[in-house]
Amino acid sequence: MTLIYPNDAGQRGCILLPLDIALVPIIAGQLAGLRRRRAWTTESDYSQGYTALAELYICMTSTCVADLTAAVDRLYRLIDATVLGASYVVQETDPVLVIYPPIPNVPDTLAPTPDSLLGLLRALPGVLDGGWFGFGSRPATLADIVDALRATAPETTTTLFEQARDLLGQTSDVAAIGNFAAGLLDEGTDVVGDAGTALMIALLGASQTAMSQQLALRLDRLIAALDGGGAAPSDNVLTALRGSTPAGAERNVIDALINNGAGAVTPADIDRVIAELQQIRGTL
Amino acid sequence: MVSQQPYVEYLLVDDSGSLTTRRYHVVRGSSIEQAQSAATSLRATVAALSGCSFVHQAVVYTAVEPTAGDPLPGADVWRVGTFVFDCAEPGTYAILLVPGIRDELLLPDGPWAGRAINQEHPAVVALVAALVGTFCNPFGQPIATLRAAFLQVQVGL
Repeated sequence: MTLIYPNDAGQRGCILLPLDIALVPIIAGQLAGLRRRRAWTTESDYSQGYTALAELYICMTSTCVADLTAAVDRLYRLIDATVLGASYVVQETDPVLVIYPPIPNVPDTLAPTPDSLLGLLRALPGVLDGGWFGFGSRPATLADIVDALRATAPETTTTLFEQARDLLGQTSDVAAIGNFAAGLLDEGTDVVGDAGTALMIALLGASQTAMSQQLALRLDRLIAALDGGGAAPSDNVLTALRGSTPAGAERNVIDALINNGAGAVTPADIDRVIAELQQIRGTL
Repeated sequence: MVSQQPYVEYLLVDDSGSLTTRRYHVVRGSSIEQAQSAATSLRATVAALSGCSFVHQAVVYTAVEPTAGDPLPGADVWRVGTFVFDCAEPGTYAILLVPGIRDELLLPDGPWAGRAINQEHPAVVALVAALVGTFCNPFGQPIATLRAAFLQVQVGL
């Protein structure tokens, strides 16, 4: 009986068969018959069977496993170089490939190079509390970054937003707003941050505008109360009250109107004024 | 080695399927081309004489050792050195066997001690040099590079 090479060979995948090295010569010897032409039915069967046997012999000497482990080693070096910045060099190529340094059993994750992925990631947030000589500095955390964006400084008792709220509450005058803005721009940007500065300036501008508008409204009301909103009068309130006589510490306008300046006002003077007002009441 | 008389060998099959081989010796000193030409001519002549069909033809040049030396103690024809080569065309291979492989050619230590052949051994290097570019696999693919070398134990084959 001769063998026929299967027509679906190469389509079913492969198995990884553990074979004790001590048994390799025996198993290889048992397969040796497949090397002969008479084992196969046709020339095509013989050619394919011969090739399959040669490839099996090659795998039996663990060459294929060596390829697999070499691929894993290449993957390790790729990750090591990218993440930690390790540098590998080809030391020898003949007779075998030797790469230095050898892959360690335990990787050193404590010392990534500055231009490695881990090094760049650690440097991204910056360091804080470095002191005069940079000792004891710590990497900035997300909380630190959020605080900076919030423009919150641990050493101040009043946040910038609280100050802005006070301004919007119109409890401060223009001088206070100006002083606040000047102090804001003079302070270190570590606390405020660009976003916080822009927001504060916008709030200040809005607050000033609101205060100006309210002040204008109040003035308009006052003027309308005095002259009814009509044409501007040719005289003023003081002239109407005192006439042309300048004011003095001893002169009382009310007394002058009631008893023509004849000393202190008496109850009789008050009665007289009331009677006169009653007379003209219906005609107003 | 002393050259022997070259010969032409035919394999014939009869109507029942039985096979037989026959040798026809060629004049000593004939070149391979002359012997092949003679074999082709003779085949046509024999075919006119025999009802059998020709299956196989070979031209064989032999040489013999006039005084065979003593084999090394422990030499075993069934302990075969197996050499697997890549051939010139990718995906093609050649398997060459050397019977009675010497123990000193095997790796002395490591997991493959006594199983794999030391490819750095000068004898192995010389073997590869003698094969590459000159010999081929049974399908005509020239031998290129050595891929694997190990011991094979054949029993009852």
